[in-house]
Amino acid sequence: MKKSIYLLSLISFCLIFAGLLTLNPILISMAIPFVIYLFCGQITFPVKVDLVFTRSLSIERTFPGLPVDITVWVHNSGSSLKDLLVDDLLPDRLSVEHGSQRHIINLKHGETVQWKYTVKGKRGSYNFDSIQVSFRPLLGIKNEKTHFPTKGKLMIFPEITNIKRVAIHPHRTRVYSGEVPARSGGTGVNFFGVRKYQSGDPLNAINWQASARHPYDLFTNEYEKERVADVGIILDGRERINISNQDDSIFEYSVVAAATLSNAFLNQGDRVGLLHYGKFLDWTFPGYGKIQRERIFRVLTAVEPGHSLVFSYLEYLPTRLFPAGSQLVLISPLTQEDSQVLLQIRAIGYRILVISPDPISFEKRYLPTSSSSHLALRILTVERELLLRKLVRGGIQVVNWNVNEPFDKVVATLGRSHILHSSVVVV
Amino acid sequence: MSVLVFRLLALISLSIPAVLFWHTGFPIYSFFSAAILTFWIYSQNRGWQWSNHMVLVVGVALNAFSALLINPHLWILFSTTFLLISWDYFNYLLFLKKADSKDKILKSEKQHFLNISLFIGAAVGMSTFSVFIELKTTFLISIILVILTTIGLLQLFRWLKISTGN
Repeated sequence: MKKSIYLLSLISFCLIFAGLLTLNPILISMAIPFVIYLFCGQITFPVKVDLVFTRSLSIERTFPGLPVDITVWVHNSGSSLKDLLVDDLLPDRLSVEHGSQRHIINLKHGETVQWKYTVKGKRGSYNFDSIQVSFRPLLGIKNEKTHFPTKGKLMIFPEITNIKRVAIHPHRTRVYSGEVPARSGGTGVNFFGVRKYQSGDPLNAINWQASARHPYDLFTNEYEKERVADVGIILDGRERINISNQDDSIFEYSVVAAATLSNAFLNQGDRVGLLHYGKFLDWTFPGYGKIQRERIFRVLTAVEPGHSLVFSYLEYLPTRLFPAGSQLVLISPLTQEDSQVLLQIRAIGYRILVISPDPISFEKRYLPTSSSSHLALRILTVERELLLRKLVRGGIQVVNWNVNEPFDKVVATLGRSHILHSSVVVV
Repeated sequence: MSVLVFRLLALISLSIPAVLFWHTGFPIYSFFSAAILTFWIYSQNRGWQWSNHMVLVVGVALNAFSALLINPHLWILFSTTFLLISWDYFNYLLFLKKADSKDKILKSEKQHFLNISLFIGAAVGMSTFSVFIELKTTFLISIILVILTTIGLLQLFRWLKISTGN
């Protein structure tokens, strides 16, 4: 409103001086309304503003697309206020579904006003730090904005789907019972091998067919132990490979995959750690159970793709963070140069599962249908197919996720495979 | 309601100089006033704040010109007052547009209309009164008055500037 004050001041000055110069009383009189207006604007502006804002959210942890009711109370402890524009400033990624966050209100001394509105939003961690209030005096010479501090935090977790089991087969497992085959004989469900009978073996474990071929020996069936495993989830947040279009980004699919898989592994009892590889290394130390799930989800709620000169390539991936021989799950759209690094990691003893949201199927949605785009898509598909085959030949499990399909459906294909040491490509 | 009031006030404020110019043989300025009015109403629909300031300056200049060209007339004072009020209403409409919720707006509009009516009464009364005051002074007293007016206005504007925190 500074502009308005200058404008009205300038007009009144000009009129008075023009009136004095030309000795025209009308010109001087014309300045009077402007001077009165400036004066009234000043004296009607509230001297003391004493407002207390309170905000309450119906739920503080939710999932994308679910409605959240926000109620705002404002109490006026100061003098009466008129024409207050109260704006509960919302982050960009939240949208109002019902009601309004912006109100014009009049408040008498001691009065409390409340209103409610509903928002929906995308994944993210949102802080409601302040409410903006614009005052307008009776004559609008000034329009002052003030921010009042408030409390409120909304966490919208990434969408997850429940997967019963994700089949992994790392070289090493931990000592506790779990669901991951441990590559050693013992108590379990799946047949592992046959060994000589030892005293104490249960009779129903004796392999009678093998024993019949050797009259003086008995043989016992062995089953594969099932243990918990160390799983390191690597979320690739490099900006240059996470393409985005309008409000959509392929990174969101990677986050969904990371959340779903970490949830599934933790449900299996595995020890899960998360590394966000993007602008910097965001490492969540491995752990078990619900607390670890909460830690990982909090990180996944806030992660964004970022650019870093150091971490533009996967070659700086700090594999020492993960226990030797453990299972790594890389979630990345992948580029050609990533294959070399992945093959090296595979060679030093890690089992790698690559979940790759398909950037071609993602980008295809936004491309016009033309012969040139069709040809370009074909070339890119061939290139990607070659890249994935190269990884598979190197002993890496690859899931090429067409993002138009639900993630659980794609991972279920992986889960059904019993030959875990062979690689799976779902194209 | 406020849109209607704005249009009515704008019509009054710019039709006064248009009629005065028409009657004194300057129809070109009448057409100019009509053009400004049309532009002002159109820009209000579009929410162009810059045009509001521009029209105020042009409207005051037009009134001042008519005061110099035509015999001093009280209607010019009324026109200027209504011009200022229309300008205020334009800003007020922009303020109302910012609110998504319309439940409390009608009450606010009524209050604003009342304030404006009081202001119009005060401004027109004082302006009219000032026209009929006749003071016979010497050149020296006139100079002193000019200096005092300037100092007073500067003090008022400084006060406004400090209180707005700019």
